[in-house]
Amino acid sequence: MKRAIKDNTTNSKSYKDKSAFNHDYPEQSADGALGDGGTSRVAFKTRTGLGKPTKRSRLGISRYIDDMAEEEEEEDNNEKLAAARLRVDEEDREMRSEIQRQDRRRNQENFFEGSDADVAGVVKSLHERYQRTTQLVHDLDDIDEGIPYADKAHAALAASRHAATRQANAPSLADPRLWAIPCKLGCEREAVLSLMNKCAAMTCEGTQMRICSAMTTSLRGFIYVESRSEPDVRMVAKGLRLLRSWSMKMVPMVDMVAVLSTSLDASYGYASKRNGLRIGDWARVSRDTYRGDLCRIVALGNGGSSAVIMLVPRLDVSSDTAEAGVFGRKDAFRKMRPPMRLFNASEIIAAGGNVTQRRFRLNTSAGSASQNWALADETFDVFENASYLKGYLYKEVNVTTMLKRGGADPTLDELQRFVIDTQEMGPGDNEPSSVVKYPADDEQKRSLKAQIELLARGRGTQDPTQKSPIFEKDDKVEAIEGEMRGVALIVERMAPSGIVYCRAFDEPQLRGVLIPMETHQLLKSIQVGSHIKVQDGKYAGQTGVILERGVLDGDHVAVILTDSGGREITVRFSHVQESSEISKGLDALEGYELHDIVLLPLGAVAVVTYVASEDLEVLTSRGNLRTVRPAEITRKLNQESARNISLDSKDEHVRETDLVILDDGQNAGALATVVRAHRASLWLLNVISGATTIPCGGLFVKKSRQVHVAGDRATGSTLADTYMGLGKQRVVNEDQFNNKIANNRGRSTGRDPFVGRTVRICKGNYKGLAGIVTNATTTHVTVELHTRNRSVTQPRECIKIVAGTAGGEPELAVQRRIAEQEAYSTDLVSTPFLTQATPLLGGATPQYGAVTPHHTTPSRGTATPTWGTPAYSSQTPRGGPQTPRSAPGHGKATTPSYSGIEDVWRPRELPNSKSSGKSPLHSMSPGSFNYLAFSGHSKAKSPMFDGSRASTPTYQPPSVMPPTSKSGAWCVNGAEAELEDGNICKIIKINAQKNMATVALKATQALTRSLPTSLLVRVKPKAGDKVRVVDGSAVYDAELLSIEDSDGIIKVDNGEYKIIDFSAIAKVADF
Amino acid sequence: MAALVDDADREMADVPNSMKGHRACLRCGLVKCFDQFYAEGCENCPFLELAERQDRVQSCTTSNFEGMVAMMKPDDSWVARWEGISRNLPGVYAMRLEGEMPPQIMQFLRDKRISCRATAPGEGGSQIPPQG
Repeated sequence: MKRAIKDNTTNSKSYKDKSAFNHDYPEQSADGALGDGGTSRVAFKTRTGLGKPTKRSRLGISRYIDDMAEEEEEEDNNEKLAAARLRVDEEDREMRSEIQRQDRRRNQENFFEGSDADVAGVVKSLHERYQRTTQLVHDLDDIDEGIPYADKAHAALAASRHAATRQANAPSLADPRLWAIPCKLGCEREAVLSLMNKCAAMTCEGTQMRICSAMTTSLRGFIYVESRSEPDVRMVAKGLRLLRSWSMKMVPMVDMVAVLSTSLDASYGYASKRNGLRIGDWARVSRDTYRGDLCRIVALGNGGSSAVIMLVPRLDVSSDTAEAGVFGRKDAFRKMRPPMRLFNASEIIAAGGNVTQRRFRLNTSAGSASQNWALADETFDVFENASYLKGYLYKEVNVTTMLKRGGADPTLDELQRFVIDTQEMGPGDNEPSSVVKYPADDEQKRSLKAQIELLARGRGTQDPTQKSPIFEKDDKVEAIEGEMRGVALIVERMAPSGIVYCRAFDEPQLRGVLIPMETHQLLKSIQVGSHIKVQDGKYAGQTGVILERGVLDGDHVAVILTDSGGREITVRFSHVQESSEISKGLDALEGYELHDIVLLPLGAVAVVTYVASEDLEVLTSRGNLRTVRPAEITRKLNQESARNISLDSKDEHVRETDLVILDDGQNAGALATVVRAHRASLWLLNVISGATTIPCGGLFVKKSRQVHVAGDRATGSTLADTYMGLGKQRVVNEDQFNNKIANNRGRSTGRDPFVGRTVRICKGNYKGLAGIVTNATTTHVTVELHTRNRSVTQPRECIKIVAGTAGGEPELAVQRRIAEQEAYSTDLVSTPFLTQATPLLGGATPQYGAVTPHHTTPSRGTATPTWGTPAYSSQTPRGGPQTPRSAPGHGKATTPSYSGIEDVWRPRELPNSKSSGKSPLHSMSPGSFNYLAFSGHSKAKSPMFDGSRASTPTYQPPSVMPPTSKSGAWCVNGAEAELEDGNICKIIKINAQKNMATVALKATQALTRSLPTSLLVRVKPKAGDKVRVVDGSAVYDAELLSIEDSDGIIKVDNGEYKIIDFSAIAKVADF
Repeated sequence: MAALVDDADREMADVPNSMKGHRACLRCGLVKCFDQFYAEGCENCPFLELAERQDRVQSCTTSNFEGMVAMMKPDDSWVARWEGISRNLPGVYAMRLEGEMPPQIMQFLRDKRISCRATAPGEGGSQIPPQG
């Protein structure tokens, strides 16, 4: 309570105290152990005027009581009276002090104005002034003396006060803002100083610099500048090469406190770990004899730059000969460090050493740290200029040069060397056993023990009996034992004694109270399903999700499904920390990184899937997951893997970084990248799934024969190999071919979706033309026009993909229109691509044309596949019926002599012609041949047909292939069809391979028949019918609006209008 | 003496004249170089009497500090308010310092009710008595 009041009074100090030095003493921290604020209260009084006798302005006990009353709602009449009396006294006193103060100020002004003023005078006046206030403080302290004080209440009050002052100081809109300016790394201080100097220089010149401050915090690479306007900041930062002011940013107001706090509040944790040692800390010596030895800081001086450390001595007293042993042979033994051993004066003396006794303070090496040390006046044994007490060596060292930075991490063994009771020392020692026990010494010992205990329990993962988890500040815990059981708590502080101070989480009556709990009463409150990180132990660094918590061997454990590898591991609850981090393992362990391919003993080859702290998880070529230590690994095979080429299921080469498609297994068809390859084994990484929650980090092993390389690299070559007999040539050219693809499309990135699609140009000179994309960059595509024998390069936005995009998919109205205009305005037969093939040959080898452009006409390359494809050619004659003048004979599809040729070129027309003219060609298909009798078509035996076709039987199978694949274009499930016998039926199933269809008769729906599709005759839809349309690979329903010549205009269900080849439109059977 | 008089008139504390050997006054956090402290003492804390007294400078200033603020307008700056240096002279200040005044000076300051910015190592955060 007493302290709280002091704080209360110190708060009022924020009122300005006009002192000679134009400064007030900044407010104190909440634990302000300094005296009371007599002066400040005076200052307050003078400021606010006497007419405002608040309770704050009272002195001594009265004020205290009032506060008490305020806090505890208690009134005491007697004390009130006393308060009133005191208040009068106090006012008097204040008046007096005010007068004195004014006098003093006048004096001081004289001091500073007069040329004969001297330091002594100023200091004396200061002394006087402060002396007076001190008197008041003492008065107050005396009065407060007898009051009992409540710890918890005080702490809470102090905390809230602290918060209140912070709150009051929080930045407001009226305050200047902060800008973060990137700064050359490591030059933050320099930049700040430059700004300060610049400011000073500008002030001298008379230009006002309008920034308030510039600062560097613990954040590297940035400085902050405080100002009221951004241009000012820019102006100031201009010309400083250290600053990159063009990328500066304003700090949001809510973050302003954090900017300062990160350097301030983190100081106890982060910063002090770096360089600030505390008394009682452990450290390690960085050089000389004791290099690497653990030592304990017993005193600090000089702002933490020098320290008295306590060490277990390493004295060479083993020597048999007295003098030479200790001194003479020292050099010879320099290499071998003497073992750690406590100092024993009698031994040394017995060995002939000279031990004297001296106070530590009087040592030659004793510096400022020694001055601060309570034990410095103790009598130490001095041997060879080193001081020993109770067997330990004490010496003062420079912290920066003699002690290692970073945590000492003492082991249990090392710590125990420091716990030796005095009784262990022999009674015959020169040990000053009659030493007065210093309380500090005792406490030191106690904390040491606690530390050892803590270490034994917390770090000793090898100790199975360990139960008590180690908590950190702000850990969420729940009490599992004691009266608080079940209460959720938050750890506030951890005392070395093993007591954990907690705040209640959501218990209003316990707000602000710290509850001491023992560690074994607490359990980290982490729910099943939360994502955690393992902090310690064997699995340190793993992250995962808690599947289960439970008790195992009396220890609270959690079963965790790890993120990487998806294994279940069991870890102690004490090692678990909630975290959203997802571990990908360490970067490297002894040079082995993730996805390295390594050679294991016995010739096994494996790829690293996870790098743990001590070992590596590897996936062997047989698909086993193994854990190996780096020492077991013979060597890395990364280079070999990069050179490795294996053959995939289509005899294509597979290498590292290739994109492959799985042929079998549960993920058949999935895309994967080859991470490593070794002979025929490929280590693949799934392309789509993230590599986090999948076993082995998404890595799996396949034989190269179980995959094939993605992309169209395979298609052309296989066809060529089989049909063209060009296999050898292909192989010879393959590298060139691959390079070309790689250059054009980027092999591993996959081909551009535009390539190979049929597009229409919707802008520019070529507007309306259609073509196939042969090449694509990020901005432009090369379109090979269907209509003209040329390619054009167009910006991407000028083309539009035509629906139903198979490369050879025909026929937009526009395209046809152009075809009519351009191709058929001249003589059709004279077009080179028609004359190029004799009718017979051309009909017989449509595939030939499909593949040959690559090779037979290299100049065209892939750019002209359409010229040879049946799709295109199917379109060209269609103009025939529409342009009778150019090819009068063409109009009649039923003309046998023409249909023989034409039907090969125009497979689409087949059903059409058949339905109208019962084209005899169909009877020639092998499939239909068997059914001739069944269908009983006499026309099939047209003599003319026989004459022209049967004479070339060798060409027949290929000639029929395209028609069979196309003849049933309208043949889709649900389409209405007419059988040869006139029955109406509905197609319910299509077998595309065999060209068979299963139909259900309209009359007797239960009856189904399987027939070749060629026997089905399309029921022509009428305008207004519901139709089903086959548009390339897509099949959709639509409404037929009208029929124009050979085209149907349809309205697709999604509202789109399309013009579709009428032959590809089937009526939907409505039964 | 003359120095002190000058300081009173001056509107600004010294700026460190080197990038090395910075020390911060444990009382107010002012950052200067050792020789500057030795030459002129601390402008904010004349009562520490650092000038021309090497041991005083050694014990009342620390090289163990973090963060640096070049404070140009302490009266207007929010940072200064937050850091509690708004009544100090313009100058370069440490944001956090660690170190301990010698006990005599500590006592002196305590007697005079002069607050001190330095946090002694090992004393931080001990608001709650260890054994509850």
